Amino acid sequence: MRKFRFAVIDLARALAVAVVVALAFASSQKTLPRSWGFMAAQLELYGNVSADVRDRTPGYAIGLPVEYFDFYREHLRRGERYYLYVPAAPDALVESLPPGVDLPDAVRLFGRFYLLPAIQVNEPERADIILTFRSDPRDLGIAYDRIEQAGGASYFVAWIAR
Amino acid sequence: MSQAAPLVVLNLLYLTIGIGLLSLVGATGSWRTLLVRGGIAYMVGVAVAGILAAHLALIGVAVDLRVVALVAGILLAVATLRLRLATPSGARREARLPFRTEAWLVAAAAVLGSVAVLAQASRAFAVRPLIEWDAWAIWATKSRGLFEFGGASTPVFNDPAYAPLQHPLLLPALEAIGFRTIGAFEATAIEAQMIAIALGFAAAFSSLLSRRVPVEVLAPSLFAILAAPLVIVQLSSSLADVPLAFFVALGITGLGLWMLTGERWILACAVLFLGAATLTKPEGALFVFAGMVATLASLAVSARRRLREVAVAAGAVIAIVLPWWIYVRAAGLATAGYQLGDFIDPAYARSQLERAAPAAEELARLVMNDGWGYLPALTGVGIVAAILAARLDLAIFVLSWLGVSFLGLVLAFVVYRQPLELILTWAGLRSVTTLVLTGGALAPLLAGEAWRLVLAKVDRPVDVSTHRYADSAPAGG
Repeated sequence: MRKFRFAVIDLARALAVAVVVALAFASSQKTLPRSWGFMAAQLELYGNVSADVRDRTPGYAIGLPVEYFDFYREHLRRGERYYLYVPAAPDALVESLPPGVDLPDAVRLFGRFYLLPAIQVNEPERADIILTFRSDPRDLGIAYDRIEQAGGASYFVAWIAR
Repeated sequence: MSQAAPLVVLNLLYLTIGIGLLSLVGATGSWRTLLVRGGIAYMVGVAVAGILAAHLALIGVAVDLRVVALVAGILLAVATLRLRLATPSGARREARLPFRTEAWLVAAAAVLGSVAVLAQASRAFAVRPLIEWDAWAIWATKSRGLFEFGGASTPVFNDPAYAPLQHPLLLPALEAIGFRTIGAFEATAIEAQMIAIALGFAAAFSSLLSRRVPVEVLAPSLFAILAAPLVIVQLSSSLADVPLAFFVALGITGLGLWMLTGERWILACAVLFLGAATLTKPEGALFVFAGMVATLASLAVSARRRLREVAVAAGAVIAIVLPWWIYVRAAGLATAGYQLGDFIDPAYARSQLERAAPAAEELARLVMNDGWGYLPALTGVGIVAAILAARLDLAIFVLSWLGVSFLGLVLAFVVYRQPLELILTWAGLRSVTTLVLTGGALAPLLAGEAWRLVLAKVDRPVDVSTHRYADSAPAGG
């Protein structure tokens, strides 16, 4: 009787382990095509992308005009403090934003990443420079030493008068 | 890929640091054990370098290739000295499971599958830019800030314009070392570090468990983890969730393994991995707390005299994270979405209580997400196998860890001040990553105990009363 009980428990143990191994293989078999397909898609999408484009991809991915951030970047120096002025706009302007994020949030977040090592601040009073996104820096009522415009577009870099 | 060579050198130095440290904690008594346990070394090195770099960043010291080389050199010298001093007769022979051809045939398919996944991931990650929101808005901004300014005493780490500020710095500090090594901020360096961590996890997990878990159980489980789309996709996104899950998985399986074997070097490695987890993401502390509670719950029943070692281990983890907690407090860094006091404020908790049920329901649904494959089921059957193997201590340990971790996550979503639906959309799936991945990693440890007993009956290489293998006795003994 004792021998039989041992046999049953061993069978149960072996069965449990067999289920673990079978589940592990079944899991891999089920998920591998999806994971492999994802990785293959990344290779196809980004395999021939240049380093410059890759750097700008976070901005492109949320539909921002990254070329104007390059314009900002050209005028910013390391450690300089800037305020990024973005008037509220309908979210429809940037359709690929995640839920709960509006356009000013998206622009400022991308700016603080892309414009490093210049430093973003939340208040214009703490800034050396005002950057504007689809707006005119003169709307803020601040006196400036100099203002640069990106072509004829409403993107400006303005140096606060000291 | 001109940056590839320096990054390879950097990662070899992490491996060297790990080898040195393993020797210091008594894990490698001979060159042979070094070879067998060397798989853990890379992740040990990454954890050490990450912890050091994160803490030094707080006082404005930038860790670069030279610093890493210096630490590696010192530790390698110590390791070599110790290995030379170790006499062959004094070195314990590594306990090994007997070689069985049929077992390796079963494992071979899984090993080849894992290698193929990691190889394909290496190719794909090498070209993938930063796309996911938090990857560039939080993590890459921090790593770039450390690279540009050398330390954390800049607005990037303490000005509300760069919120959230309470995310610890291990991963950004590690990535900043990579940027300093290649001399530029490059997204590909971040992706390269991610794939190196994935390779390191696979090696460490295999090396850690291979002495206790038969290969035919171990290899398929690892393959199931690596092949899961939610692991691959999240890893490629360069967020901190999968690295956190890897550290926690190694730490918690390490704790479980230590409970079975009592070897202190395993406990030391577990402490290091859990310490690294607390410095990877704020919720790392929750999973570590759950690990300590689970260990205490399990040992309180089965081995009370080992509780002191657990207390020392918990103290060591706190010592690792303490400088960061002090910094957060001293710098007055606000937490995004909740206040620490919320957790102990009964009035606030009561007002938020209605969020508990929907949060628990949604988190449970996310645990069962198709993208994890059958990892949750694997954990469940593993627990059954451990119970059948009369390893109630191990089953209690795993169930306690899963339970406390899950409840902790629910509590976090309850006290958050943002709308529940929004925060679950943002962070729900990511937050269960550690739970699912670690559960999957524990499955082979659990099932392995049952399989060892079955094999003992079939092959009789194991003394069931002591759980020792015939060739695990000291040499000459």
